[in-house]
Amino acid sequence: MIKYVLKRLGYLVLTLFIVATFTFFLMKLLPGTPFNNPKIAPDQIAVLRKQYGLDLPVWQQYLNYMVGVVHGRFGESYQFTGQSVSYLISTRIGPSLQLGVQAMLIGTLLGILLGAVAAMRKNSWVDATATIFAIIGRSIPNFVIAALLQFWLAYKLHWFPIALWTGFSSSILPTLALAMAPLANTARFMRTEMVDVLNSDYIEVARAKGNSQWQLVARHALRNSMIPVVTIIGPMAVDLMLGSLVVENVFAIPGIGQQFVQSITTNDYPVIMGLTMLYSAMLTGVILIVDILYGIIDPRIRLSGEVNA
Amino acid sequence: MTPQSPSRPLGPEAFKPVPVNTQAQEQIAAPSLTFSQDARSRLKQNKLALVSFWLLVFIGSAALLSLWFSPANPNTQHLAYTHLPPKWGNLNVPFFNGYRDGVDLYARSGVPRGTYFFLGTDYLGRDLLARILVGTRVSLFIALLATFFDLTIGVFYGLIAGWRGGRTDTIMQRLIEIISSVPNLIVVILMLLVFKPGLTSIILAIAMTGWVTMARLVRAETLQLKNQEFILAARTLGETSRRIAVKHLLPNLSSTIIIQTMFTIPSAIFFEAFLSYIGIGLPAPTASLGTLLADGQKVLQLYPSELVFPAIIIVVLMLAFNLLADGLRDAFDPRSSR
Repeated sequence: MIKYVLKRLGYLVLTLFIVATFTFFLMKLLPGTPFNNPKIAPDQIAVLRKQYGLDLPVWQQYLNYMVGVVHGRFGESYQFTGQSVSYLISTRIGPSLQLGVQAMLIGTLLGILLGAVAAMRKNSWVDATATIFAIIGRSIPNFVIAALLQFWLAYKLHWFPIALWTGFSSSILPTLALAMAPLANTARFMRTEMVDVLNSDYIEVARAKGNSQWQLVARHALRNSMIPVVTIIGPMAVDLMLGSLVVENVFAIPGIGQQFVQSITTNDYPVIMGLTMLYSAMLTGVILIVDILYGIIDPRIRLSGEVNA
Repeated sequence: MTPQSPSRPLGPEAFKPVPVNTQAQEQIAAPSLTFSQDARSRLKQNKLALVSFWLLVFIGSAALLSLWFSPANPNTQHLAYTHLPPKWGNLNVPFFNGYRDGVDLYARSGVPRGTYFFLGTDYLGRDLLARILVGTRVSLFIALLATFFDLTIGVFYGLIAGWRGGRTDTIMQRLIEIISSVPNLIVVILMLLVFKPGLTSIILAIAMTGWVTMARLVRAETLQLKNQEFILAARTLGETSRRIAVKHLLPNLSSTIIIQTMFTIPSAIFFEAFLSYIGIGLPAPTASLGTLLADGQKVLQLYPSELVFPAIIIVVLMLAFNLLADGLRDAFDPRSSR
């Protein structure tokens, strides 16, 4: 187990190293410098280049950057003079994390509930409603949901703040918009698997022993049905990260997603590189955690490396 | 059956052979169906999937035909006719008659008689229907390309990794792991920074990342298939790997491939709309469902229809592809659900 986790951690570091190298050299390939505003005099540009270490040979810049990354330094923002990328990210990661965790929790928990109820009342109106809901949730892009929620619940009905980040109440609508896709996916996987599990022999035995339907589900079926749901947590987390980019923009939330879009439009390369690293690290981290969880939930799976084969 | 009296024990004369009609036994009552015929008949029973299919055919042909028969030039601006409501000829359908809040906006803006905008106009007076048709075409084009990369790179990669196994497989798997650990949005953004924003960067990004799931599925399935007897027999008979792949592996993989393709399409459509929505997809004058949604969202409070129409189209597209994909999965693999 420990050996497996260590091996996976090794791959994780290798992956991140490749990502960092790739982004670095891609940025170096870009035509021109970030300081090609004609209003800046040549000698000022030289000063700026020196300040940002751009006058050094490329290999030395690369070395400096990599050493910095290992120490958690990602350089300074071009757009916000004097602010380091790490500081910029640290002030903005809070809202994004809160939204992501809330959406993930609501999405998976409600999805598990919805899928389980649909499977228990198979082919009834409950099942039909849940299925329709799941398909619609999968088909409406989250930015459309966000815009519509903002229009109806905030602008027309004044139930929630329209935008900005002023406390818990302003996190409700973005969370709902983000939670829709994980909810739909979880419900779909949960229902399919639960139907299978409820038809299996050991459930039949438990039923013969006189357990009620709810006892059956709570004690025996739920845990075994959750295995496929765990496998899609990784991809869902990725979708959430991407979704937060656009939902944060719709609701003007000062998170890293909004910062990312802003940095792209202003060509703030160090911030883009830092956030790319952050997103990749979170992604690989989530996948690793999911693989380990997978083994804990289903003891039959030995962590042998064949987990995600 | 008459009850036997105890005084008369059963003798051999009590047993008579039943006449056997061997021909009737051998007769096959149901018509024999190949796998694909079977799947097709199951698909035809799925009403939702069928409706989705014809809906997609309709939307697709409308988008394609608009290349030659467009209701208007999608990029022509009429600054006098901005934000006009929809009007369907002289039909007096509520909401589609050119009135908003009781005012005939077509008369007020001085639109000549006989000029109608079926879905209204946007903030530059461009015909919304024409723009939606262009946007749909872009979405479908992206979907087609994603399918192409899925079928070429994805299937090929998966086949090789699964068939070769061993060290080749390990290396190829690691490569996939690295590729998939970078969110594809980030790949696009890096592409956008190096090339200029537009279709090329989106296509490149899809080419780089879109086929990964397909490759994984094909590899896993190939690993299972290659140890089965019929493949072993083919190898023993001296078939080349290439022929085995074409003749034996691909037909057996076809259902997985078709199903995965159908799930790739909606996510590709979503991906393009998403990029254009946050303003790093297609550049300004070109219409795409994402840019239309972004434009519509800016004026949502005043002119909701400009968001609602493109939203309906993208939701219908995604819904239809998802339902068709579900239908195909059930048709090819009846065990998979329900």
